[in-house]
Amino acid sequence: MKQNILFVLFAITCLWLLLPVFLPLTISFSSQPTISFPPKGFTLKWFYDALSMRDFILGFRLSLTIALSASAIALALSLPVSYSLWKKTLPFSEIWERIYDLPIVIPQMVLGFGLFLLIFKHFGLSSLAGLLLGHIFIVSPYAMRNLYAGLSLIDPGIEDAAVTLGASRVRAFLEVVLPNAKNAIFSAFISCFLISFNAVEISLFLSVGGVSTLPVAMLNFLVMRWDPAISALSTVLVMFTIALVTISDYLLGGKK
Amino acid sequence: MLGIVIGSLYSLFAISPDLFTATGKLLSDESFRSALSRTLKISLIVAAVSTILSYPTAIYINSIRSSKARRVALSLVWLPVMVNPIVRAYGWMIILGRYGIINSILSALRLGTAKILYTDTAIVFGLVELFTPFLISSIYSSLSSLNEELLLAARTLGAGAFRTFLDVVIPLTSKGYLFGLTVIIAGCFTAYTTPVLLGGAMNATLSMLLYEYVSIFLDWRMAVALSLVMLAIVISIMIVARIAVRGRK
Repeated sequence: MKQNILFVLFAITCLWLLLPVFLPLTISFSSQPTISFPPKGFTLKWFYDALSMRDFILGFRLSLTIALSASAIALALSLPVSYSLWKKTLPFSEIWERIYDLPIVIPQMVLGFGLFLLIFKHFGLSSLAGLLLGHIFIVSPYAMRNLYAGLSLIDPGIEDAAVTLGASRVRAFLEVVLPNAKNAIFSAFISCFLISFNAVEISLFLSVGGVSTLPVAMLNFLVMRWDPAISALSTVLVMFTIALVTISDYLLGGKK
Repeated sequence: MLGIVIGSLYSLFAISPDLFTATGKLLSDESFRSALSRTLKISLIVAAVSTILSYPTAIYINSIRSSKARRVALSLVWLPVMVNPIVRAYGWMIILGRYGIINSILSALRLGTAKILYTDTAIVFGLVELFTPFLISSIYSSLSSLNEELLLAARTLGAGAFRTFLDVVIPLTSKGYLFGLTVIIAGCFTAYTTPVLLGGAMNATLSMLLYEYVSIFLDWRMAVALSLVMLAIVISIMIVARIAVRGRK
């Protein structure tokens, strides 16, 4: 009885959380030019429209570049930190963890505005540099947490064993720890990539000079008008996300 | 990382030598006050609704026996976080819009139509969807590290399910809950996409006001003042939460 009530509430929560994710799929094939439900007819026109809009294509390219490079850099920067947290050799580990909480709580728009002033006013750099810095910053906590979670599944003894058997510290890390952490690193990369690829607020003020990331382009489009082209694009993005999340889950699941 | 924070904050300060006058002007500004009270109201409602949804969900997931099914349930709940917030706001437009699901059901029942999209209610729907996964996962992680025998002991000693929940589960998960709550409230104070798409231009929240100052009015002095006020609000929420967590120990 009690279990049934819990299940119903769980189902309501799932519905609440997942309905908006999957609804765009249902109307992306609808032949009506307004956003209306239930869908009527069948057409692939919106997919064609969405995939041929210049803003979306350029935005997709920019988002892809930023997300790939920001995730790679953030992972490279976080690996030493999470490694020493795992080995418990890092002094002030509490403070380090607090620092990694900052990007989650500092308002992205405030940070984006600050970066905008810093990059353009003080250094006169291109918006690409600002975007890259901002995105590295916001994905760092996810990089650190995922790496740390992945590393903590590994028995610290194996590294010591390698060292005892005569390997140098560096060699033990490269040949023993890294191969074991490979899946964790890949799945951390996927998380970081998705967070960065989807980030809106941080990019809002940094998308100047005609270049905007895909989410910002979508937002500008959607504020101006309602068009089912967005639902086609959403369908593509949701499929893309599910594929990546499944790969990431599989990589982590294979570990256990 | 710290360099990025300090650099951006430094440039926020550096741009306006007369920061105090700008802040004073902002604090007495009518649109700022209405945005602040709207944002506060929305985030409190979102926190409440999200709490009501999260606790049962986390408890249910924690009670699933098979570890495989539990992982599927967790990924279902976590999946939306990985999906673009614009896609999700767009999904809500389909549900709540003029010709959306709710209105087509209402008109099929001959009850007329309701205007939900572009109201604060729509923002609440969207923000609850945006942040509930964080609360669920932080309650779940405290629950799953909780010793199952404690619950059994409470039941054996004669406490009912509800009593066990109140006296054992809530105190022991309060740390995770408070952390999740901080993420939600801080998130509501700073979210932009969801309020602008679901609330419409007439119902400004703090972040929408910031966007207007920077990109429409080009009034960077006011924008800096507003940024600092938003930062101060979020930091004080964090401090209050930390004190609450300390008090719990």
